[in-house]
Amino acid sequence: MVRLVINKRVLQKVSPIALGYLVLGLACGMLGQKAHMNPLETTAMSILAYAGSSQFIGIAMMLQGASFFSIGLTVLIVNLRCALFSSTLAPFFSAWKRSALAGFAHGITDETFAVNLQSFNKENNPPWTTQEAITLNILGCLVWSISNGIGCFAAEYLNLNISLVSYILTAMFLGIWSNYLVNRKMIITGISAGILSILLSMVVPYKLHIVLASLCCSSLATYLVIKHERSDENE
Amino acid sequence: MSKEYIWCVIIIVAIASYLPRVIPLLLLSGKGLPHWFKVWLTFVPTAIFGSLVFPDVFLIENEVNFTFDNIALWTTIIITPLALKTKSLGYTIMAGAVVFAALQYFL
Repeated sequence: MVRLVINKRVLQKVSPIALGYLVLGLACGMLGQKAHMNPLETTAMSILAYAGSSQFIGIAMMLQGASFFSIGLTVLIVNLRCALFSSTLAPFFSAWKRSALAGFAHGITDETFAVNLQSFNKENNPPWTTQEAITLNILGCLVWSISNGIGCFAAEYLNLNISLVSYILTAMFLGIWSNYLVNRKMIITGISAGILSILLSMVVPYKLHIVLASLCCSSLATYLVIKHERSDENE
Repeated sequence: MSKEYIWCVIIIVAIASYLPRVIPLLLLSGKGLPHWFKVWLTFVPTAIFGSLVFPDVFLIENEVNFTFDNIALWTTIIITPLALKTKSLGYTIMAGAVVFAALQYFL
């Protein structure tokens, strides 16, 4: 059995995450209300998915009446970055049973991943435990789900400006994106995908331009990097 | 929006969010991903967020718009330096909301 551990350092580490999730969760719940979801549905979605960008995208596409296929594919690609997170964390969990791993996987987000990885690497006295890591994930999920429910509930009584709520979504993407713009390759790949996405949006149906543009540009960048590495090896 | 449609989207979003998190943990538990796949995964986030942000910022009703009607564009131009400098989701969202509301009021 996996035991949850609530101690001082877990609470210290989860509090900045919780603050961010509170604000973002309220906004996400409000957007959900605009898509005719009720507080129960937004809370259920937050517990089941526990993924800010996926949920915002899912709800925004739902507002546009997108097909299940394009919603599923877009969310999958948006969340593919989590595959990198979970493969990075995998070595710390080698002693865990598969069922427990399946539970831990649910709580891997941009924020919990960053904090857990840093804690595994830097907390030595005593070392950061896997139990503390999963507790941090669950506390984050709790705050996220409750604030989504409250946001949805509150939005029923507020006359919210829908364009402002949608812009919060764009600002969130910009905020996450800025963390990946670390060198020239990343900047060029991102901007080319952006331009391609605009062009494709005029010709491709079902909102598939996001998936297509990002797959094309990330694959091309990968091809060029690997080709470059091979030619370096040959020299 | 029918209740069935909403619940299907909830389930689809949940499954599509969970798969990329769980598959590497179950399959690898310690072993590495293939090299090309790792390289590709490093490029996916920047590409996907570029693809998401650009249409939101430049398009209004499917047309590129550089006028002052496009509040999202001007807000983004103002907050991008802050986003790049702080790399903080919280600051970017707060600055975005404040600047957007202010521009909406003044423009």
